[in-house]
Amino acid sequence: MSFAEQLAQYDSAAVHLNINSKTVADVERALAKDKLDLDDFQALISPAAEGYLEQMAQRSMRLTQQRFGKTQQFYIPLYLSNMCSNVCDYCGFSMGNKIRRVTLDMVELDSELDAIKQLGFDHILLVTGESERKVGMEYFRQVLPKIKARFSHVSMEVQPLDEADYAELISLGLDAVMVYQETYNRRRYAEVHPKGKKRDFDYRLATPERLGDAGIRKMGIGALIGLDEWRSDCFYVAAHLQYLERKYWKSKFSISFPRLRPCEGGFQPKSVMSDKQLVQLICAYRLFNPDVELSLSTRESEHFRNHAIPLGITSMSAFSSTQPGGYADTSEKALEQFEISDERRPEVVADAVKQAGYQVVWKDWDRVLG
Amino acid sequence: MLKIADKSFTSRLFTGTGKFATPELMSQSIQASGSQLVTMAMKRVDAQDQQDDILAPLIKAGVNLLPNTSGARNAEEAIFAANLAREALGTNWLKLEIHPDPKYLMPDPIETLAAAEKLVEQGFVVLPYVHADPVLCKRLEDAGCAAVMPLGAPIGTNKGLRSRDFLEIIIEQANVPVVVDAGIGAPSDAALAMELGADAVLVNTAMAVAKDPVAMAKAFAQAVEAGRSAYLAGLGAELRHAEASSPLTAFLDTL
Amino acid sequence: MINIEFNGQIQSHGTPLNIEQLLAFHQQALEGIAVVLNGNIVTRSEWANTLLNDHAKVRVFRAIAGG
Repeated sequence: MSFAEQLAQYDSAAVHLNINSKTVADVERALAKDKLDLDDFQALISPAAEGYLEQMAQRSMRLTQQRFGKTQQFYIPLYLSNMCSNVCDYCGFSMGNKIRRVTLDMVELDSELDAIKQLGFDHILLVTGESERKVGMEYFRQVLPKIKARFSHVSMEVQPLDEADYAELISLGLDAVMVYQETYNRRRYAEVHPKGKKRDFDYRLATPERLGDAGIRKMGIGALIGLDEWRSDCFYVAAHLQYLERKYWKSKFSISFPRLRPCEGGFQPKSVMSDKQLVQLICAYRLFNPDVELSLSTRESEHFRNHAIPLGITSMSAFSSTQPGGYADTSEKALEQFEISDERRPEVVADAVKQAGYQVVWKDWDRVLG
Repeated sequence: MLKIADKSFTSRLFTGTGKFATPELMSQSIQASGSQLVTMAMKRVDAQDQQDDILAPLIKAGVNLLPNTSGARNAEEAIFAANLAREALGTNWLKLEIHPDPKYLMPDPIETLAAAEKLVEQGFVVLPYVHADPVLCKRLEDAGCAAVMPLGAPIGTNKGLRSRDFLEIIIEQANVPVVVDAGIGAPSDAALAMELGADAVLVNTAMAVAKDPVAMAKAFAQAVEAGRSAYLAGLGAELRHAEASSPLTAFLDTL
Repeated sequence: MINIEFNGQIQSHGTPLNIEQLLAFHQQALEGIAVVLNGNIVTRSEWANTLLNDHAKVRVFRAIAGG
């Protein structure tokens, strides 16, 4: 069964109702278990669990330390291009937005890589808009070997690709791919994606399966929190994770939980998640799945990020610029995809991580047999 | 309802037909157990010895047959045995078991995987009997097996779920039904396997050698049902006490 | 006169015979058995058409009780 088929079996109204009608007894039962199922996960993200936050956090910390040790992986996003042929109501890169469109050429790429290397990073996340024609396989074939030659871990967050393309990129050194469904609510998805190839909900939804079939080492999933009712969307993320883990048992998984921020275009989130609820969600993901990587970006504030370190987070970005060329040339500041909240330099974030008693991992692993 | 390949089962208790004192007792016990899937072995007929006919009462009872490949020591022999069984019993269902070791009858993982790949290709519905090895179970699932049958303890030992930690991982990861086979010595073991989320259990020795096999068969049926119901009802676990430590969420109040 | 090995025992037969006739000769119940001729399984539908040569080796397997 594909995940699309599994998703079709959920009645979205029932899911919403189930989560919101969970009781403290359901929460306590979930907290008492060693292995949590999706029902328990619903209890932990429900309003009923809000009074159990500290207990969830303590357990989340223990589980995370047991599995990952006292470490935080550091990565930095490299925006290769902000060209985009989609209209997404919530995104600064949306096709209609009047921003200067840039795609790094090989010379610009080199100076970006130099600048990032100087910051100390060895794990890089390549980000683009979704412009198949301008920034497609041909471009990736060109840049990936150059980047892989200088960074030991390369992830990608670009438009969904076909299985054969993923297989080729993996052979060129690609380690991980992040593809966020944004929202698992088909109708809402259609509303906020009025134009472009991204409109194809099912093609995007099946991307992790294509990645798994292509043999990717790690894949990242998630919902853009606020697009739809966050509790339901995050439940579907958990269900998606469980599906993928069972099917692609050789891959690693990570989850991101970006909260919608104001950006050009003035998009209003449908549901707003508080800091408390974000902590609740992070802990719920951890209790549900002790092995999944949980990633926190610079969308979140310095204060939140400092305190979130022991809660279950395993990887963080730092000093991100969402502007293509923004590391080498720091003069311009007008092309952002979303607003960065934590603008600290990487060594400052690293200090905060050390203060919290954690070690910064700049480099995860080498592909010895690759 | 449990579904394996093209068949549905209302009973999650599978039984073996070996070791019973008489064919009558075997057939009565299976009926008492409510089992809808029973294993059989293939053997070369000796010219003299006239075996009791156990097939007729089973067919009369309307149970599905699951021939096994016991006696096979490698993939080649198992594939041959599988084809014999398909020919003799007219079913493409197969319990794949390969044990090169005559003492403990431990299943050979390498030969089992190799045989499973070929047998799936030949159109068999393959249920492999294996050690409680989570990676092997995933590999067998990938190879197209219809279910996996990890052991609870060495076969015939009645020791219960000695492999529990690994069974739990297998159950958590599997996309095909998990049937706990071998080692189940008492109805409480069968109930525990079901509580852990196993899809079915296979019991033979514990039933066959009980003082009253028919009564024991009934007891196993009740245990399997109780365990399954408990699993579905959602077991509460032992209460966990939070350890005192510095609060992790107090920062939320200082925002 | 031909010699046919049946489950390890050699038996002489005065007239040529097929598998079905051989099974009848040895009073084998036909349900739940599989026949192997010189190492190859012969399907039930071919029994009547499969004439046995001199020195043919026939083995019969049947389902028995087992776990």
